[in-house]
Amino acid sequence: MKCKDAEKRLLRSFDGELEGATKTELDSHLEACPDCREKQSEYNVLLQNLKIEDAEPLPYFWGRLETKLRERERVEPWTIWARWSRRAVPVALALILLFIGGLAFFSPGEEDLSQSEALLLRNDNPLAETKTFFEETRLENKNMMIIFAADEKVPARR
Amino acid sequence: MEENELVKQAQAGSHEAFTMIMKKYEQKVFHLAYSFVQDRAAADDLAQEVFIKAYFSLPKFRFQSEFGTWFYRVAVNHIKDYLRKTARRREVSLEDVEEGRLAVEDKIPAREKARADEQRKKTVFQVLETLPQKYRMILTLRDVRGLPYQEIGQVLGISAGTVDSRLHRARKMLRKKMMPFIGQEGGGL
Repeated sequence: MKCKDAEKRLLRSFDGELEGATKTELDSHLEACPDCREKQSEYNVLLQNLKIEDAEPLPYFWGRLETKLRERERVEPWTIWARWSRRAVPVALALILLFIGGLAFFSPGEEDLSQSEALLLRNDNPLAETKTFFEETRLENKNMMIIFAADEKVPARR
Repeated sequence: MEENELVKQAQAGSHEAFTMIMKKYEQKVFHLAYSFVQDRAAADDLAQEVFIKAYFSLPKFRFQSEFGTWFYRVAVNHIKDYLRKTARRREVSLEDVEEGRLAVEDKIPAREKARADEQRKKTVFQVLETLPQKYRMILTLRDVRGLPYQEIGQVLGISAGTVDSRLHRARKMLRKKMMPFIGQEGGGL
């Protein structure tokens, strides 16, 4: 095994990830290589020195924290809105949807009008066109009038 | 009561629920901060800032991960910002590291040995401060705090493979930087 590979395995061994044949190979290499043995002892001391004893927070940690939180909340009132908005947004959306649904449900649908209703609605004289038709003397003009009258549609909706 | 239920109540504005959750994380956050600054007062300040940040960020938590992971991520990100700011104020270089031979001598009185041990730790942490932040971060989380690979990956947002390679690079880098402080006597650190 090369020293470079041994160092890789050595580093992995500190995390307890080395076992079986790979561990045996590393152990035999370390036994034979004084440089790698020295490296191993240096890493050991380094890692040992990185371990520290845990300390405790200073007294009244929560009392001090609560005071700070109250002060910050006064400075940042938008945070209160941020909390309420979590509820307000879905409620507002539900109300809008309900309103749109209500409009669609209660608005009257479209219905076709009868011819007399359409004429009354548009305030048309029903005899105006008939009068010009009867007054027309030329036969071909009359025929044309009949053709156009047949094509005319009265799109009228309630 | 379940943690997620408490979080929901805290999100709706309950101070009591927030305090209940945070008390669970008090030690963990304080110890994390202490691992980086090794000063009780500074760690206390830092932990309080983390809790304040978590309080105001709580509405953003969407239950897409464990609350503990989210909270630890908030803490780590805040500590990163703090380290970035303080590093700008005081550039740490190897020249600032106090000279203290790391050779372990056998026949020294107990008090002196304790002082030497303390100095050795101090030197290692001073050198650790000189590493690029991502290496300092991973060494602190793994070798100082002892967090498992998976949790480190979740907190830093990297894969277990990246944790592995970055950690090994960081350890090599630390050893290399420690070389000038390695004592010749005793044949090692």
